[in-house]
Amino acid sequence: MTDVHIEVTDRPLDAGAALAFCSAPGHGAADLFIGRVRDLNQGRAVRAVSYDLHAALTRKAFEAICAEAREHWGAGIRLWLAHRHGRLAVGEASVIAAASSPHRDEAFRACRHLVEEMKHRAPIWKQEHYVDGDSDWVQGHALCGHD
Amino acid sequence: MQSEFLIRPFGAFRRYGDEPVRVSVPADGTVADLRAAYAETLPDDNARTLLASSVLATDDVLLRESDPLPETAELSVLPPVSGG
Repeated sequence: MTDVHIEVTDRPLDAGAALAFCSAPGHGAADLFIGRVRDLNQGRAVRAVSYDLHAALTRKAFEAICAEAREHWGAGIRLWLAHRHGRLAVGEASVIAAASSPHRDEAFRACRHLVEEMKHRAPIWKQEHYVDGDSDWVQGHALCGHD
Repeated sequence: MQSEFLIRPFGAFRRYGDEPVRVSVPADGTVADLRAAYAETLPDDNARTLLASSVLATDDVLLRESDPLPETAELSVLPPVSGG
């Protein structure tokens, strides 16, 4: 699908590229989400986060999520979904999701769909590294076997 | 007859090591048998509790307990996810 960009990488993510991709002459709306590493989680000071992921299954999950978005909000929308793995410092982008469409409602909804479904379905895990020297894996959402 | 599988750890399972774990189950078994065999390799109840909320998978699909053993011997164990 040339209107969809899916990426799993250990390199810094490019928001400018996401916005440039999510663009078309007939698209009056573009929506961009950037997820960044925060310096505080549940009262603990974070200095870095390491992301682990299953690359093949993450790509499959992203493909399915984007296909759903196209089914719900039109095959003409353009989508970008990229997640980074490895160790990230506070402030670095871990995920970028973007969508463009003729009108704003579809772009907003599609972009939100990408983010929410990614967080619940993609085989990606976050390990926080705290200022006090400790590290721990973040509790998450259980996956289900296929139907 | 037994079938052997390698189960690759992801996420919090890496607490118990990064190397794949070898398990052996009856060739006519199910994914539930794989899970039980893998559980026996885990070091403590915390690990087994984590397994209870985790899924086994090939590189293509997440597996259900009732599924027959997959054709591929290389699997992954996927704990609850926390991407983004």
